[in-house]
Amino acid sequence: MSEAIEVRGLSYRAGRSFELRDVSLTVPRGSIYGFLGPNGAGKTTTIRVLLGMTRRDGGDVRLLGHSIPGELPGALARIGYVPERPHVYPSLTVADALRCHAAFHHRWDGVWAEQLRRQFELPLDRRVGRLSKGESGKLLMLLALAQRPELLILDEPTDGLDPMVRRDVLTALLDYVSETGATVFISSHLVHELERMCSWVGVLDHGRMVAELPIDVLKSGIKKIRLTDTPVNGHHPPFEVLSRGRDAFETETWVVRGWSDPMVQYFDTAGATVREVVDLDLEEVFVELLRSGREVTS
Amino acid sequence: MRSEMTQMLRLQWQSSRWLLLVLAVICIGLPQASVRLALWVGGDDVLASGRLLAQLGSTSGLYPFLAAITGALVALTAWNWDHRTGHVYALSLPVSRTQYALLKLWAGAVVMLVPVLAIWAGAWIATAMTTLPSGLRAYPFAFGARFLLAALLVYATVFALASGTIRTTLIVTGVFCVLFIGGSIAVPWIESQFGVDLISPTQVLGEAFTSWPGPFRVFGGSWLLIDV
Repeated sequence: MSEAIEVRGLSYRAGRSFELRDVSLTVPRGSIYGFLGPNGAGKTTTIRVLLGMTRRDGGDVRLLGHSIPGELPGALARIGYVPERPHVYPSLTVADALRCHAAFHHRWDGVWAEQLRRQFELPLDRRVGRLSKGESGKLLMLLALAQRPELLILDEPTDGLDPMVRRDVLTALLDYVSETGATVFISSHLVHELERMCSWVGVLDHGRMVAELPIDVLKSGIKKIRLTDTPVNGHHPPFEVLSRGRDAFETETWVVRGWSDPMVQYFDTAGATVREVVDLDLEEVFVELLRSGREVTS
Repeated sequence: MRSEMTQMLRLQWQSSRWLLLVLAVICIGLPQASVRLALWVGGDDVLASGRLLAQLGSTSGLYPFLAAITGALVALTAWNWDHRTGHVYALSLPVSRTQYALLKLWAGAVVMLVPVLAIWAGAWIATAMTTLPSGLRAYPFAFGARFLLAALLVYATVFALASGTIRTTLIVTGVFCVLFIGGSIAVPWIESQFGVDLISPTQVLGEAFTSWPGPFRVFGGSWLLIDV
């Protein structure tokens, strides 16, 4: 069976200031894939290109085995999409929006939609344009889930929502995923939120992919190493050095990728002693990846 | 497909119902107003002398204008909500762009029947309530059909123009403007300066569109509700 999302060599240019360069990513079926990147990295643009909303300059995109944009309607019938900003016509009431969405999505689950609506406390007669930010976020998630998609593409779905609403929305999402085994592609810059739920992570910065790994590999493979002395230059390390410098206590500190415990010998031969190997949380990994990616680029 | 058509019709109705209501009121009132005005201005002998036609002719220019306004406004409301949301909702629906545009085109054409039926009803009521002089006949059905055709023509044109991005619309409109304005200024100037006889693109395009079998021919001629 093909992957849920396969992107190869995607390129897109918007004016002189922004471009996606040779973006390749693979989202395995059944995974929850966190698409990380700082603001302006190109996450929303990538999603819009994936969904055929923006015409790309080059590369191949396949969603659930459908070639995009040639087989877009077939793919969209199996995809739930939550955009960065509300996209439902603001003049419609919640009831109208549900009716409209149901008419176009033949797998629409009306009973569950009503159940979710009650759970989210969305008033049927309220106009979409008059919903609060939290209510709007809930409505978008409801619309995406009740069409019973095999793939959910969520563009910062909880951005700007209060913790209560965020929990409601993510709980509904995770319940659906655990019930159906659907794939989730979720973009965010809220790293802690993704750390708890994602099985895969892709990092985008300045329009290019910096990393794409299973989250446990990513986290276990990137370490912060504190050393007693500065190693002698000239030895080629068996790992990738993402950054090195001195911390506030003037201790030599390296952030490395591809670390395993036997590699401590490298420092012994380089005239330094490893004082401490520190696990990084996803946010620290994210920051280090961005920093090293930018150093390489510059 | 039926559910999509029904839903699109519902959306079109919701986005344009107040506009349709206003247009319907104007469309139902205008034929009656123009006939009443002709009777009032023509005086006592208007029916006997047949001056009715001349009086009706003075207001007949309002009908093609109203048809054009009706078509243009309904076409603009068809895309209004999509433009306001950056087309994101439409593009996320599992239908092809062509299919979506055709659904919208169909829905707009259907709701446009409201003002068209109103003008037909207005024309029918106005002529039914008037005793016509001998030799004159009322044509409310043909009048309504002509109104429908003219409105549909403008509707289709504006619908196509408004379907694109603002940039595309401006480019297409700009090309036409340059062609018309440039043609009407440059051609006479070149002719007078160099003593040559050129074919004006403005004139060629204008004639192609407005003379038979040009599509906008329907706007020409007299729009008389009552004629010989």
